[in-house]
Amino acid sequence: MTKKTKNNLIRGIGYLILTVGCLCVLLPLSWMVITSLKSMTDITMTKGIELFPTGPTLENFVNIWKDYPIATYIKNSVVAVGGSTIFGVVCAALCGYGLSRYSFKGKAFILSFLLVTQMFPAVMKIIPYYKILVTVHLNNTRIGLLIVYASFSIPFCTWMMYGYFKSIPTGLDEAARVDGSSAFHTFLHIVLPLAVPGLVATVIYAFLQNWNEYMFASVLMSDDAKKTITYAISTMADAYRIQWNYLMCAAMISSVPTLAIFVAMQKYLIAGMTAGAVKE
Amino acid sequence: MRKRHLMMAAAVLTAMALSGCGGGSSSGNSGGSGTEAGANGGAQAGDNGSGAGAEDGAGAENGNGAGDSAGAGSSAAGAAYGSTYDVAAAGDVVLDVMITSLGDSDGGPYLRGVMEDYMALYPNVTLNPVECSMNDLYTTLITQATAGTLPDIFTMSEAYSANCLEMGMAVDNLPELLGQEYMDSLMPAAVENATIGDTLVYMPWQNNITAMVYRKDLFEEKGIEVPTTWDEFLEAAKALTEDLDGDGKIDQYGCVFAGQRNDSAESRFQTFALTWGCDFVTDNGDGTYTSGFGTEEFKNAMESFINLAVNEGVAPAGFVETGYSEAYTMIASGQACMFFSPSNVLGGIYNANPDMRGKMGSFPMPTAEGVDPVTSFSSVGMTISNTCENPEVAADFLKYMTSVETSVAWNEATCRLPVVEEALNAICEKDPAYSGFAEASDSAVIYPAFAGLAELRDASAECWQSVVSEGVSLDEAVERAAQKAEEAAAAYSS
Amino acid sequence: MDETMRKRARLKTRLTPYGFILPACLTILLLVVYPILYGIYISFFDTNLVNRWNFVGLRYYLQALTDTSFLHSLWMTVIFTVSVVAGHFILGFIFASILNMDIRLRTIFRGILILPWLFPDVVIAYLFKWILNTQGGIVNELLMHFGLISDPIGWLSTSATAFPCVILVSIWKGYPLVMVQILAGIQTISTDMYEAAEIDGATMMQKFRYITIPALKPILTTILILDTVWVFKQFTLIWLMTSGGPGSSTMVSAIEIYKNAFSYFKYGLASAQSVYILVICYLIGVVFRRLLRDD
Repeated sequence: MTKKTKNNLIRGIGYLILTVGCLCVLLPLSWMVITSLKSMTDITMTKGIELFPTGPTLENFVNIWKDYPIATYIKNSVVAVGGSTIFGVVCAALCGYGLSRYSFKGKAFILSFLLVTQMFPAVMKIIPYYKILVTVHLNNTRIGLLIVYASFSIPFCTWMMYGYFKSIPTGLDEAARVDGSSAFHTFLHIVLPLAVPGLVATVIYAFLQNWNEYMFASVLMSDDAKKTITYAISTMADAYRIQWNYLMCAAMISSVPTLAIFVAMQKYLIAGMTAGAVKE
Repeated sequence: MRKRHLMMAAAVLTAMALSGCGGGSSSGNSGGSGTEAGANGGAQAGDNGSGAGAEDGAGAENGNGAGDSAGAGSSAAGAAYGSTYDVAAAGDVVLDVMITSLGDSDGGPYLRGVMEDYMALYPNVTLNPVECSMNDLYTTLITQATAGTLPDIFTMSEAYSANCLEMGMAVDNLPELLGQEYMDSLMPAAVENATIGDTLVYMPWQNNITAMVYRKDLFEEKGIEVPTTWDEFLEAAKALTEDLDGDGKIDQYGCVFAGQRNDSAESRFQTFALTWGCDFVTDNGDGTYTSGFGTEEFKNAMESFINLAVNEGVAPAGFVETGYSEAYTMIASGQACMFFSPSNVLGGIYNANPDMRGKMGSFPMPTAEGVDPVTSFSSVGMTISNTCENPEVAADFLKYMTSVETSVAWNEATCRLPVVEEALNAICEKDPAYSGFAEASDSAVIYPAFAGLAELRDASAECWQSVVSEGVSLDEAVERAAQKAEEAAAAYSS
Repeated sequence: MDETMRKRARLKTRLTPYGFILPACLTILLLVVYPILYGIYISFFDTNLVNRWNFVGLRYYLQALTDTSFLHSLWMTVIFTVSVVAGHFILGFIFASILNMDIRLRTIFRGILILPWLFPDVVIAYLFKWILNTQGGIVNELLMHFGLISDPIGWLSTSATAFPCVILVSIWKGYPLVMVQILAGIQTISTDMYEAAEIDGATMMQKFRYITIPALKPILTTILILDTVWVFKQFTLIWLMTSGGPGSSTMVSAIEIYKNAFSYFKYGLASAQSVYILVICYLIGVVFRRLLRDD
């Protein structure tokens, strides 16, 4: 077997695996799309196998927009989650850099401490978080939720950034330092650009993680006009009534911002090394 | 080196925990800070007004159908609902009103409509809707109670009333605020249900009396008699179980049972057990409780429940995943014909399939041989927070919300039944579908206030689920459940 | 004069790292420490969190240790975590490696494979609950349509299938995280190293074993620990799909704790159980870092 045929074989297997993987992802999701086009009677009244709606309708999207202030919910989510992502990732990048580049007293402690804070089951933290927000009069505000979400993402993001920075050789910083670059300057202009893929992966992670969250949002934000989209989705299904079509519609609407973030970011994700800047 | 650091992290956390005790206990008696937070909540509610305004349009639009009739009532001025407080003279009042929709998707918009009408009646009053999903109700209430930021009016049920009382969440003079005349208009069972010791914890609102809803049209078509015992019920169910399109698969089942492990299904089983002569728990009157899980009656009830739901072939497959919404969807789509539930199930059915209006009926719960007719009564209601600065106005709104006219309109929107006797009679006379609920009222019992009820219920669901899906023998499962129930009964006895 | 300047410079150098970590640590100290301490604090009390605070010492800790349902839930959690994390890493690694090859339609494949991550847990839980539904679920309908089964299977209501289903859904939902992190990690590896290896005649496997894995080790360790902790505390997916049932076949600790706290209002016991979770997660972290130490 020549090297070329072997490579082609590997590539072929690669395509096969990717195709199977994509099918596994797309089949359930296509069911979501189909459901969002069905009327509730279509869903409850059909017996037996009925893959496609009898009369596909976009009515659900119109109705959901009328029945729920979806735009407000999405705005709330974007403010709280977007803000927390920016705030959280900035803190995390600084912290991750500091931890990866310096050895100082308490470093190992901080690393394990950050992790420990994330190990306490979340449900037991709802009440104290609420008490904190009430004390500083930030309950029922998007800023309050933003700060809480940032505190969720900082520890994990710090660890991620720490991991990425560590995989970047330290030779560059030292060279920069010899050239008289300040510590912050080195971080911002020399090392951070190299960590852009990792930074982007971290941003996506932080955004999705908090976009996902609904329990804290439900308790911390009692005001209807401040609810987040994910929480709104969760209320479309409870023990009393599950509106499958609305649920799936809302899910699709709510995934637009996350999809947008991902599409906007993905070229950086795979940006690769800036013209081979790192040579060992 | 690393090891030491890791150990240090743990040690510091522990140390902080110990030193944190001081801070924690001071936040424990947060009576003082509670009022402060309450005032703050009021101020916030004020500036939220503009934000909520954006949705008012939508709310009013949805509530229109119901709002019209309620509006007609309100235009007849305050006296129509037995108002005893001069709200118009109370000055500017802002109240946060929790809307859980009580599980009815149409209840929320409807209630918003009522709030609009009330504000139109008294321009000096602003009512802020505070939405809360029924799923998260207790989590939210507990959290808000610990921080002293409860809404002025919030949802309360018997499941949590003992805690509500202990934590001092609600006002302690609710009957006074509502007035004797109003209290007298309520079903006595509802008042008893919402009372712990001598304190009325919440104002009962929705009447959760349980009866069997059924496809009246099919019964009449086939000439089936309304069953009064479970044996007759099984016969009827068998007669209704059919393969309508002749493809060899049954597509209409006689009945459906909820078998999920959640409070909705579990409380249904508790009613079922009653009809077999089994009380989940008995109050011994001396602060101790006895569980009924060890009795022969409990075992019979469990056996019969599993038989009807799974083994007799008269109910659709998937019992363990079937919950309230799945069950009424099956009724709505014609896949099943009987289901026992509080009256709001009719709302669910009509919503899913409007054609079912007029085809449904209700009859009191069948019972086992030798057991007198019996069913359960409970009620979910509203109460006024002890941090509320205008409890009189809050009480007045609650009375407005439950007046006869409003109740009738509410019933049309949600199929809920009220506990105001006059309103209940008016509804049952108007719509024969509720006759079974009305008839069942005579034999309704309420459960003793027992703080460990949720655990007993959970044990019962675990019992049938382990028999049905894990293949555990009935004897073993019942024995296990009985042991858990015994422990719970002992744990909550004092 | 010169002396003080040098001193100041040295001080500045010594303080630099603290400057970097300060914003993150400050936020965490202000926000995260109190909730955890509060949780630990109430584990020593029989309390309703408002006006009943009876000190009970270690009673709930002892009670949790002898509570068979808690121990059972811990065991379920361990099985769940091991299977799900393994699934995440296997799939994430496979997909990331292929996506990193020079193939056509890479962007599209990558875009599709990341989709499960973009939808909230709430949606995914309900979606699969519906797909797997006994009555009218599409999986059962399809299987029956093609005559593979005669009666619908209760995927989520049979103890033999419920747990595997929940695990599969959790893997489906979570692998993109690992995939993306590995993809991003691979990008930081210099291509020169691969080129050099190629010149030396290294095979694909060798390159993977001796270049990719070591270079990814820091980020892999991190993701492994984070993913484990995260899965260990998984609540939403399982809670919405099965609520721990049928029976207790999917009852993981997070659900057990939630039930104790917000269904039975036993905050003390739930907190004590949470502390055990904290300790267990901490030990897992220590073990992982010990095993994967990069020296």
